[in-house]
Amino acid sequence: MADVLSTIISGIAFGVPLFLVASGLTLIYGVIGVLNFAHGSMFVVGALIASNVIGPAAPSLLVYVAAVIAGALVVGVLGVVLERTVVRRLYRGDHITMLLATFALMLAIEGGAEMIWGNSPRSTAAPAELGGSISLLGATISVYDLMLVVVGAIIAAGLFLLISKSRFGRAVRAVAQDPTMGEAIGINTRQVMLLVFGLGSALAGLAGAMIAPNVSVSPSLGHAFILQSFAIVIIGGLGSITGSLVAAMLVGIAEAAVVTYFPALTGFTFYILVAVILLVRPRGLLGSARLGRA
Amino acid sequence: MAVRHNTTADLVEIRRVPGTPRSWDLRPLYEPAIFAVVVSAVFFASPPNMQYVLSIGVIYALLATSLGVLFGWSGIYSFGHAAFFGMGAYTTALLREQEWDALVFLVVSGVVAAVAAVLIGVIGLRLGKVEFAMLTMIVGQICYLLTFRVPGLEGDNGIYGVPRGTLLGIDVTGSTTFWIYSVVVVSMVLGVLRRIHLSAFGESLNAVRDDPVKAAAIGLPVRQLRIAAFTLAGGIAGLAGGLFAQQGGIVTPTSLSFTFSGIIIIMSLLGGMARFWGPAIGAIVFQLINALVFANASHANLYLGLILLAVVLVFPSGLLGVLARLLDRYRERRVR
Repeated sequence: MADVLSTIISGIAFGVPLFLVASGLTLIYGVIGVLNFAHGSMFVVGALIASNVIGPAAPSLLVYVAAVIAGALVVGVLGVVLERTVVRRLYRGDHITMLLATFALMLAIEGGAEMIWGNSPRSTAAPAELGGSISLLGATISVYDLMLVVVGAIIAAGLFLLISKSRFGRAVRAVAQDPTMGEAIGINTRQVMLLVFGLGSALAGLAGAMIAPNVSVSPSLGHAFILQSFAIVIIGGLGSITGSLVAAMLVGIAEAAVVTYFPALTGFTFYILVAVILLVRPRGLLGSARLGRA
Repeated sequence: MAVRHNTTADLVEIRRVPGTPRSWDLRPLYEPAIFAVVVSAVFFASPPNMQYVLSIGVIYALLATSLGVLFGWSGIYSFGHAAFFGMGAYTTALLREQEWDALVFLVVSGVVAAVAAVLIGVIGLRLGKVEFAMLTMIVGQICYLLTFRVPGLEGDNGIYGVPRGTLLGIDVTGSTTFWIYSVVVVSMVLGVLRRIHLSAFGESLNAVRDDPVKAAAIGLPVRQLRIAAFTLAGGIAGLAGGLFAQQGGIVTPTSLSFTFSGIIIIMSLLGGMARFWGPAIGAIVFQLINALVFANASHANLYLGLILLAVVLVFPSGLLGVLARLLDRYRERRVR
């Protein structure tokens, strides 16, 4: 029982950064219609900035929080800049232009990150308050994982409230359903798209900054991560935030279970799950749920 | 400069009314011959280090053309094409102990990659275009990871000692003889592809690319055509991979990597996906530029990304598209 609990908690903690990246990806796709290959690079930039702010020594809690916020903010601003300079030109193009242009952005951002931060992996310590582990119902749970679970839950709830209850959320859903009609009833479509791209990027930056103490951060970290979040988005259904939440939790727990019970398959869970889901439900777990209907 | 979006109308270029007689069409014969003669002329006029670059370039020309089958002919977007190239390369490398004819290795490599492509196509082509693009990326990454996990594939060290062997009893290990062997193989396969491109099958692929719904309405088996195109592209990429293994004598995971999939796309796009010869020419030009300009540059990804961005946003129709536009302008001026 204790085993199962710790597997579930560490699985969810593993899924939280994935959810943050995938929800940004799916939000941008749902509203703007651009599949952003560069999203994984945004994630890496967030991680690099956080590890830069924190530095080699273990930070105080305050510095850590500042680093995470800095990661999210800087990447959000980077997203806004990219939207205004490059992505905006793609709105009237077709799929292939978008895929190729964002693929190019991905290579360029990764190259830029290599130029600024160098190629060598760097490790970052978590603050002392979040280190160590506690015992819960007999299971040993790392405090950092617990923090990830709590933060993930808060952000997921905030995102749902934002999309379903706020005035901005209504505008977002309207644009997702029909940008032309939205424009006609007085919604500033361009501004909504700009903010959505910024918000999505900031989520990726946040995920990167929060995962920095758990992994060794290098510019090529994005490859593995963007593919994993693609897997999440395919499993959950492109354009559905609920879908990516469910899929991220499912994949996270499956991965944690595999690490505990079948170590040989570590790292392949995503791909196996994707293959199975595609065979059974080609449109994703929650069907072709789009943001407008979410 | 105004941004041109390459919508379907930009990509399509109607050359011939479908259904007109084509038995006299000799393009599949003389075009590859011209290609072979021109690149060979460049090859023999070049210093040894550029000869090496070019001998990889012709193999990439075949690889890029196989990607053109997907992006250009049939509107299937693959971001993991390196996987099939790598599969072919690893197949030839793993069979290096066999005493086969050089060509047999290539055929086996092509078949292995084609079989993998059928499987992925059958499962994946039920998805939407964008989801399929993501899936190909994932498949590419799985293949890349497998080289580190499967014993015998040797991870980062790669497999070395792949022989060039003999072709019909003739030794093709020398750099000149190997050049002739590879340029002949590449040109012949390109000729076959050109024939397929001009055939009714090629025409149907274009119809599926332009409007799958209408294509289905006039009775074309859309899904089967897409699977066939994906298989053809995978098989040709595998064959190119086999040739690549023979050329270098060594196979490493780099040839399966994510970045390499991107490089194949950049090469094809540089030449222009809308025309048959675009990807092949783009590959050769890219290889030359790469060797002359970026050979010693660090941050290669940054430059690659910026080049691709420029090509996509500024001249999406590639070198051949720009050339065609310049020719048009020249002709207009002469008429006046």
